[in-house]
Amino acid sequence: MPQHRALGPVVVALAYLLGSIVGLSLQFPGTQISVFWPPNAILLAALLVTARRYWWTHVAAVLPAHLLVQLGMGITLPAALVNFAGNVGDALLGALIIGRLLPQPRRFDQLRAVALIVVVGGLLVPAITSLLVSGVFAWLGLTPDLWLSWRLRLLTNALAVITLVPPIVLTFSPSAWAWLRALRGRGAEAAVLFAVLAAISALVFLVPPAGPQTPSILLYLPFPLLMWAALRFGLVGASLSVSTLGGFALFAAVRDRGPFATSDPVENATSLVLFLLVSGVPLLLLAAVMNERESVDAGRRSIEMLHGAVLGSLRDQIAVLDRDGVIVEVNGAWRESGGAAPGAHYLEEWKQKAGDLGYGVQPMTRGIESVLRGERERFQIEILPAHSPGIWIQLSAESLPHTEGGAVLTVTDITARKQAELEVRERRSELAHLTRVATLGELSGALAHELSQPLTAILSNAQAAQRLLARDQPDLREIRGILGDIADDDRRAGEVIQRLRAMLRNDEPELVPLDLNEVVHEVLALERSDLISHRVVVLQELAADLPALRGDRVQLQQVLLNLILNACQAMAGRPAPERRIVIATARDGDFAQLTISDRGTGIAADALEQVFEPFFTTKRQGLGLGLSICRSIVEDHGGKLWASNNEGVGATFHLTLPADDGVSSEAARA
Amino acid sequence: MRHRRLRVAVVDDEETVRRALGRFFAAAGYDVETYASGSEFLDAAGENRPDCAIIDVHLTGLTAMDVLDRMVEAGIDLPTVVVTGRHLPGVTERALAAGASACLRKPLDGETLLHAVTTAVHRAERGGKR
Repeated sequence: MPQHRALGPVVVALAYLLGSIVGLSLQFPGTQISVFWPPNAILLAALLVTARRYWWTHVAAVLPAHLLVQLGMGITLPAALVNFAGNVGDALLGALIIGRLLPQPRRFDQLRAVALIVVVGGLLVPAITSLLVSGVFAWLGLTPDLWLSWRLRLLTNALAVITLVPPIVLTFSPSAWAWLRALRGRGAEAAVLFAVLAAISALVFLVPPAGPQTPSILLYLPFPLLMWAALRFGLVGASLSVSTLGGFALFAAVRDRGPFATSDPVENATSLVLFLLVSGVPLLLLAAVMNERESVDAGRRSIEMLHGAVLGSLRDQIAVLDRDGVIVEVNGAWRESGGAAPGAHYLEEWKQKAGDLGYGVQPMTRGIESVLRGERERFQIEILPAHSPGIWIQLSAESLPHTEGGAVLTVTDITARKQAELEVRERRSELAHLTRVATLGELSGALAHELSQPLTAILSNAQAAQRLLARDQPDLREIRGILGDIADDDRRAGEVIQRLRAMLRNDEPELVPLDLNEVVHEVLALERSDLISHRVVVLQELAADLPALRGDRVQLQQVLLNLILNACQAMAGRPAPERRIVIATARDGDFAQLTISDRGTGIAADALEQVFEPFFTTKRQGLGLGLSICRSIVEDHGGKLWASNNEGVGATFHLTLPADDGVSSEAARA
Repeated sequence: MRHRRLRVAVVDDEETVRRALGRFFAAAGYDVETYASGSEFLDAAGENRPDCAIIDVHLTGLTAMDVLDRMVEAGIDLPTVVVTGRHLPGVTERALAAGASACLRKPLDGETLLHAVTTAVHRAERGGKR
């Protein structure tokens, strides 16, 4: 609850005293009927802007003021106390109910607060308390007519509440100062307004009528001015203008002048107060509605400012498109980059520009159009624009989540990221090459054998042919056979050299359609001699329905080569007949799966993942990079590589690689 | 002796090598028999002993060393020339220790091979019981 220390109990007591004096001075001549009774309204306003735990200080402070005035007027102590109970009851009950129904933080310039003040504080609560007070007076025999007393007390209280409470609580709420600031520069208008209002009020209420009766039409004369005050100066303007009007009306009425000065003072008071209530209440509500609209507008303006500041601070180029692709808004970075201006049709401009530069725009325009049509939330594309070499940009379109549709386009310079990615790829490819060379080094003996076999056959065949040719009648059929064999062996040696060269070269990885089974064959051909000399038997269980892959042949060969060599090394301690590797391939949905199982020593349970970490090795020789490179190669291909231990002996390495979209193994081979 | 045609056995698991060596020895005036594995050769040599055997070190199944050991066990005493495509350290020493007359490296030059065979055979004849 807001606490206003400034509005101390003393100030409240003084205001109460003053209000009582004013109320007493506004009595119809010859009666004790006040047409305007401010003390209750002043106390209510004070309670509304004070924390509940300090209410008692206000109530205690106004008691002496109350008694001072009422006893001074000659009212008996019991009657004065009943009056006090009624006044305090009005204020306490009103403040309690309004406080309960008004959401925090309290804004007294809003429609809800004004309506609560009018209905609860001005009518409902005074109706109840007036009934009780009048009832007590009737019981004490102090008032002849209970209902008349009730009516007058209710009306005079209501008038005080609607004219006094809103301006007082507004004065002690933050918006009061905003109102004063808004008034700056409009002081002249306010002065003119209130001068004219005062003049017209004087004309209506003070100038003696020309005829016997004041034409009631005159009473409507102030209304345009009241509206002016409410529309241009809000709640405070409305309250002040009603107070001004009321002031003249009361001033006239108590002097028995003006339209409300007829024969019966009670009826006069009633109609005067009703007149002021009827003109004041709608005015206050209208002002509150205007205020509310203004604060909504202010909220929207501040959101727009925030939005503009956020857009402007972004370094990416941003444009907002409507559902037809017309640019609605752009940020500073977009403008500086020379992008199309608001109002332009983005896609048309882009097609034109791209057409001039001569590159395809289909995927991009289609993507943006699909976002604009609401077919997807987001579209993103990375482009290497032809007109700015070496610069990578990312263009993304995100649909706007409101009914009118549209999209936000963001253009980001991603050159740095692309370069970093490229560097990482290059480093990894270099590392893969180095480990490949090292692996082949391990195989050099076996590879020498692989070459010496065909060379031996060629040499022996050639020397046999030489001897045959030296004979008188050379066996030409045999020689023809020899030459055929020589050609075949030469080809075989050539293939070995080709494979070696491919693996030793440091080429850029190249994605081509591949059959995983074929890669297995190629690697086994390279490793044949090594497997024989290690006395390892390889069983192949290759699936015929394997999906085709897309990958770099050499890198995948390297992975298999590594896994097979590891399996051989893991089995080195086993007796020769137990050294067996099973290589199996299978189709697993859209993946090709390969497993390599050995009957070796297995892997420690806590090292199943560690073996893929760089520099993890159990061998005396070797860097420990093999499996970590294997995994990164497989992951670069969108696949997975992991290890598990077999139920019996040894370990199994599992490899899955994604299929090349829908192309069958047969097609890849073709 | 000089006019008798010598009979050699070639043991290599690779068919092209086997065929080429067979042709070479035939062209050089030898009788040749070829075997794809050590056990095949051992079976045949028990009954019909050649004058010399040329055995590849890296055979699938029994290796050349295994074959030499089995020959000693089975009392098959004949000169052998071991050939190897891989130059692993110690192979020559082990082959000679196991009873081979010579250890040659592939690719084989015909003349060297013929020389090794005749040397082995002569040495066996000079020191042998035959």
